[in-house]
Amino acid sequence: MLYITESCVGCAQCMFACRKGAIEVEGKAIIDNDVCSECMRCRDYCPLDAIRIVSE
Amino acid sequence: MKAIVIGSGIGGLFSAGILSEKGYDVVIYEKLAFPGGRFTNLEYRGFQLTTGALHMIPHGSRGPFAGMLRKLGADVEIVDSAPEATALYNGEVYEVVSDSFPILTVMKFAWEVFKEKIFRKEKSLWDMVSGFDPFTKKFTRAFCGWSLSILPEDMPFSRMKKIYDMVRRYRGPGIPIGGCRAVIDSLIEVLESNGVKIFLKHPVERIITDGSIVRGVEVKGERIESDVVVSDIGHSLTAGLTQSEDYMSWVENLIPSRGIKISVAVKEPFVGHTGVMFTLDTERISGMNEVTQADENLAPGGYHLVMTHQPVITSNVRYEINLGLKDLKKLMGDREYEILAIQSYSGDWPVNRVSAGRDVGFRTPFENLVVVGDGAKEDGIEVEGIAVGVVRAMEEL
Ligand SMILES: Cc1cc2nc3c(=O)[nH]c(=O)nc-3n(C[C@H](O)[C@H](O)[C@H](O)COP(=O)(O)OP(=O)(O)OC[C@H]3O[C@@H](n4cnc5c(N)ncnc54)[C@H](O)[C@@H]3O)c2cc1C
Repeated sequence: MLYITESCVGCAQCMFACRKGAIEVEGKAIIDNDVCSECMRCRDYCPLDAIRIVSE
Repeated sequence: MKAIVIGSGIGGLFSAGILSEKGYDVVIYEKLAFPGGRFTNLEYRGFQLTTGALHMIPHGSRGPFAGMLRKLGADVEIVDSAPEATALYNGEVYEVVSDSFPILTVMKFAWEVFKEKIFRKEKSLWDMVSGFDPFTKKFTRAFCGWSLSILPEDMPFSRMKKIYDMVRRYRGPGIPIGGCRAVIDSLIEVLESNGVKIFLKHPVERIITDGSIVRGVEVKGERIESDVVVSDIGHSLTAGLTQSEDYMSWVENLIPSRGIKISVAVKEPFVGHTGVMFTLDTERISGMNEVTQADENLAPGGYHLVMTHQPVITSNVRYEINLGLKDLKKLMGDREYEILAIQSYSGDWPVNRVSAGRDVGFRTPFENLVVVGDGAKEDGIEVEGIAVGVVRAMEEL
């Protein structure tokens, strides 16, 4: 499962990177973990290291 | 001689270009999966949206930025905006030329400039224009918001005067064909032919210092030595990587400028030209452009791409976004439009790492470590100021 940390400023680069359309951004990013495939492409686009993965 | 560049934003790429021409062996480390930092395209639903910039070069093909591209041999076609700007004021669109300002305002302005020169008393831009006519006041506010993402209250007049002089000298903006990314791609082509190596997904974890010099950097746990280090990540992050208490406390009070950009798809042109449309009747949005007027390939067929920009005034970003969306709705009236993305910028991914007019220069407490990019600009709007700053910093090395 992915989650967004406090350091997110809402630049939306993760939303552009996501190929599943699992991310929406308005002031901050929100990930729909039901759609997310954990490919982690978003993390490579995040300038603020704000995307973390946790195993359930 | 070996040089390491931290970050592949405009400042980093320009520096690498100059250093490689001087004969340095240059290596660039970039943390993200793509080069260009806040000045490149990211495609979204067929539109060429960006990491940051509004696809505009503040002085088009005539300014220091375009001059630097030419000097390095980077081949970018820049469409100079014509008209340079319009203003939407009381529901009417006016072209912004020197005649747009009442003669009395122009005279008052000349008098204020004269007083500033003689008495050297520091005033904010807002103090300066507060006695002017309503159009000029609103235009000043919109200009600051669009070009610098700040309020005129926070802009020292003496620094604004330099920007004003540059606008007089180099004129208004331009749009690179292919958008920001065309600039990055052609710079990288030049760098690679000069032998510069770029490593993506390679964040620098530490800058290794030794007294008043730096020895190199640490990347992925490995120590890499170099004769000089150029940092494109602003003073605050750079200071953090050196772990120097002195440096960290020196840059503690630098305030970045914040902003919100809304990218909008429209079927019918809204701005209708290649320049900026300043919006004076709005609560937050300062202005907008329609870059597809210069390059239709920045949007899929049948669409135009409009981008709005606004500074952030309160600490509540959601509230600021809502005001922007309200402005947009009012501006669009009963036209059809679709919001593609809302991007907000602050902290370590801001509009400017140091607010316009508050720049502290490229030097650091370490002889062979300099900072470039918008954390260490010289006078000038956005990437124009970066170009001027890079030249100064590279002369020093
Ligand atoms: C909304 C918005 C609109 C704008 N519009 C315009 C415009 O139209 N025209 C204009 O001229 N300017 C505009 N600007 C400003 C312009 O985008 C920036 O000033 C410019 O892109 C900053 O370049 P830079 O060289 O300072 O570095 P950046 O672009 O910030 O690049 C720094 C790079 O360093 C990397 N990095 C960070 N930490 C590390 C590390 N530890 N190791 C390795 N790499 C690292 C980052 O990933 C990044 O790629 C705008 C900015 C924003 C946000």
